[in-house]
Amino acid sequence: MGEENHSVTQLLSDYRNGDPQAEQKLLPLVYDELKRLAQNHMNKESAAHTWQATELVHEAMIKLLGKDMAYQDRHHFCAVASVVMRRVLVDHARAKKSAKRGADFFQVTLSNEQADLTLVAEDLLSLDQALTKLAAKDARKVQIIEWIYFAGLEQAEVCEQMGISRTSLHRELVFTKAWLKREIGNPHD
Amino acid sequence: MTDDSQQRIEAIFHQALQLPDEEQQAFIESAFKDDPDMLAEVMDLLAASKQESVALNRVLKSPVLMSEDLEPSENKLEFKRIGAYLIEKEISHGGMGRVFLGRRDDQEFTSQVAIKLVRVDRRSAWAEAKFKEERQILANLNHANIAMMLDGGTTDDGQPYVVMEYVDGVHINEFVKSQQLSVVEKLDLFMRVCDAISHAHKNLVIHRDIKPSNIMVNSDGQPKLLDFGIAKIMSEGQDMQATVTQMAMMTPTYASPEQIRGESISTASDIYSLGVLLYEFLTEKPPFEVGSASPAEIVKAVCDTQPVKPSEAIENEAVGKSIRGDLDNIVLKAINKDVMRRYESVDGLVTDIKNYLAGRPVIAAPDSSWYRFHKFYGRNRWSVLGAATFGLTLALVVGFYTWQLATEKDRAIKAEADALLAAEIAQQEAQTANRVSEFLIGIFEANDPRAGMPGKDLSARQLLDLGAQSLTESLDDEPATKAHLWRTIGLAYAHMGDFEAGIAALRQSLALHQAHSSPLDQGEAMNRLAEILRKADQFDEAVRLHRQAIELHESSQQQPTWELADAHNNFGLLLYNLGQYDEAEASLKKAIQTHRAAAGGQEAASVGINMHNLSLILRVRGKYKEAEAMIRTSLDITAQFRGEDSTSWIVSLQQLGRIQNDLGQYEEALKTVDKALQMGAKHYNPDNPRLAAMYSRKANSYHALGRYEEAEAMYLKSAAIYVGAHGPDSWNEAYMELYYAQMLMSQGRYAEAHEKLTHSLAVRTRLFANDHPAIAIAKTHLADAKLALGAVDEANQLLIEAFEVFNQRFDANHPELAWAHLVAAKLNRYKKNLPDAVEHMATVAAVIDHPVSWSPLTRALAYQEWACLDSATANDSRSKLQTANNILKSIHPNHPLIKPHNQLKC
Repeated sequence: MGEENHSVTQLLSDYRNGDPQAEQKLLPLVYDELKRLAQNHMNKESAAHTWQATELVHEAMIKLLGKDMAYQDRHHFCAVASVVMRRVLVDHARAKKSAKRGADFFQVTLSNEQADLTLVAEDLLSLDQALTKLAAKDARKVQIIEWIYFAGLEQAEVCEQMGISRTSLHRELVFTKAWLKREIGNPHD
Repeated sequence: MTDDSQQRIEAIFHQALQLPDEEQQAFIESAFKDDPDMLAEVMDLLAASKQESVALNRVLKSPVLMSEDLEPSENKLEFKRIGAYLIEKEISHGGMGRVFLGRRDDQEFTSQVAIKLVRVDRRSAWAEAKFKEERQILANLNHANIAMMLDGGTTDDGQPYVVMEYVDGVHINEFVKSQQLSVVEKLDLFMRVCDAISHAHKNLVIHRDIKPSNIMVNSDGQPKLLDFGIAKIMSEGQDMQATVTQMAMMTPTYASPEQIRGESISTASDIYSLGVLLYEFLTEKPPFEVGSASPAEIVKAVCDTQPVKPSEAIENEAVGKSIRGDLDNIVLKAINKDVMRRYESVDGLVTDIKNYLAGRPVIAAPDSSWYRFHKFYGRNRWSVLGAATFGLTLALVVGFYTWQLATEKDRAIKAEADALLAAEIAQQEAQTANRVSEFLIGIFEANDPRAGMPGKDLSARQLLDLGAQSLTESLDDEPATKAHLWRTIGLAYAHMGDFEAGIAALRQSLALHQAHSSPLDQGEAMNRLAEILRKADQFDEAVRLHRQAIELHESSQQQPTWELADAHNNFGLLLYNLGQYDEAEASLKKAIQTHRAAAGGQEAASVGINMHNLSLILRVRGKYKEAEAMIRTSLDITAQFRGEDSTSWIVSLQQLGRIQNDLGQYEEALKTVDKALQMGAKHYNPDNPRLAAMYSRKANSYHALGRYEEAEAMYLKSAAIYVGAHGPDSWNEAYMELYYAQMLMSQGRYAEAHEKLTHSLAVRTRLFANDHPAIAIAKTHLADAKLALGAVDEANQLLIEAFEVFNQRFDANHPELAWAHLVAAKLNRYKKNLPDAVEHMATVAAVIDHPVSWSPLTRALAYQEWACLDSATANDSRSKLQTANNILKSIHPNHPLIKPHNQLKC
């Protein structure tokens, strides 16, 4: 773990310094770890239990970075992991659907400090599609949703990372949630 | 990036959300009269935003609610054993875990044990970490009055558990009641609880959740402390999540003010809870009833309301008499709202009880509220004044005062016969004054710098949010009071820079006033709303409201009122923003007259503000000397009425700095603005836009002095604040950008300047009418940048448009008009159209040496251009260049723009 710990920290630092390769190297590492953790959880928990995406990210972070990570590393790890987490969840949801084991077997909670959002596989796939559509209009909004709901970054951290005020973030969230609800309500318009 | 229509959709969506439901549709329809697609889009989004769930199964709940939501777990006891223990039954389940009764599964040891297990479902890493922490804490504590930890481990499927001594007994408050203990017996029992807490403190553990249900008394009469569930090792810092959850988990009756406010917690918080426990022992009731109170009421009760003395809370007078005095003082010292006024340690509390029992004098002394006020104010005077929320404090106090007054009067009217009424009200008002001072103390304590939490605004903001939240649902039978409180909350939000929330609150206030109040109140409500709309760049509605307000005041009042004067003032400021300087000046002069008339012909504090605003107008008209004289008078008046540390004075000081820049007194301007900044730091949070304006003034001075790096740092600092507070496209930002761009031009960074100016112009065009001088000014500077980049035709078009506005709006010798001529001269020189260039330069020459029209830097730039023109027309360029260099040298001997003759670039 010490070795891994070192390399992930190094990659994050390279990523911060603008090395485009760092992110490419980082993604598979984080993906593998998250996928492994997710599978563990899926095997262990019964159908009725939910598990929290953000906790997985947190767990993966502790695993890959160790407990005494630098403050900035946490932000950047979460930013990378949010994208990965979304992919892991969507992969899982697809697998569950194609295995015809029923959507109900898959429950995941996307959470932040104030609100939880419980989704089943079907909804998660719709959400994913909606987010992809929104990304074409306004990538920043998608990033906010990913950071908060898929990686558990706190709102204050998002504000700091994006250089926006609480008020702006709040506005973004109100609008984006409305947009997503509308979109998922009528996905074919 | 989003395109324009997307931005417009978002803007209208947010504005609509601010309106009452029934007005939203009409508003959206009027916004998209000619665009049915966008209309439908926003209507859909608004509908979606109000739906709790659509296709998605959304569960929007707080984590705490979720844990309370769980079904009782009696019937799903899935364990037969945990570790080496057989499970007999489940005793309880709470926010963090479940507790089972068990016994050890071997013959050696048969006594019953309590086994705590982290919640099975919704397992959170946080709860698990907390639990392990508690286990560690308990393992370190060994005391006769703390339930002993026997064992701990992890179940087969990975859940941690702890095995504890099982205390078969009753909760301590039931014990006290049922045993009918004497005062001395109660004190004895209480001191044993204190001993346990003292032991924990000596092991660097704060319990943080002392309450009767956490203390059992066993069959031997021994109290045992049970739950260290939210205990914390003292040396650790606070983490936010712990605080939030903990706030939700704790029992408000026993929580200290600092806990309620989510501030950092010390051993003094446990002392407070112990004091409440003792209060309840003695009186059989808690100091504050929090049964069904709303969060805001709880905050108020715990943080602001003085508890009744225990001796007065006891119904049995004889018993009350027996504890009056020393015991009252001891309890009240333990539950003092000011951490510093409580006992220093649990041992100190115990010693004082022993003093009492032995008939010795006790340390605790009674405590008048004025004593506390002076004590606190004296100790923290500067930090109190410096607290970012001082303005908010005052606003809240005004609101609170009114609220109290209304309630007290109401109560008096209901309770007493007519004859007693007058006396009663007088007495109630005296009491109200006391309440206000209590409230002040509460707020000051909330901002106590010793609490050591970063972001003091946070707790104030939370208080405000709580206030707004509870106000929504209360006081429906007192619309006037409610309207006044909405106003207060709205202004407080606006003061904190959150215009959106401020506007929403002020709309509530206006709606209530329109339905229930006098024209005077209605007009005042319109005026306030319009003022904040102006600050939020929503000018159209602001103009409408101001006109309505002034009309209403003038038609309903015989005498000049302060409200009318203020309406004139705000309207004047708005007209200034809109570039309508004649009307603005007239309006501000009316404001001064009306203020003086309302003050019975005397000078009034608000006249200082009116004069400040007049100086803004004089300045944009290029009358810098007059503007300077006006702002200095304004500073004198403000100093006289409000003092030199008032925010008004600081803001005016900053305006003086700006005018000093115009006058070319750059070093003085820097000193002036530095002074304003230094004082402003005591009033404003570092991200307050007021500070941004000051940074931007400093940047202008640095630019003129040729200190570009410092200038740029200041511009960037200023921009960051504006963007953070108002988003990327505010008027403030656009205003500053123009100056930033001028510095970039001085440095030869033309492309960057072009970019800034393009953005600045776009914002101005969006906000203002076409003939607003601010748009024309941006166009002349953008034209200059385009010339530097070789886009001569585009520059030409911009200048034509700018001249059209200037010729209508400005005198011939206006400095901005002269600047436009200067750029036009340059343009014609570039186009080799030398006769026209010479003609434009002749206009410039008429004002160039006028002592009050241009700043020295601009004059130097003009002389440089003149030198170029001389050179192009085969005249000797040396004398003009020499003049330019002399002016620059007078600014700074080594000014970077000083050019030897052979280096003049044209």
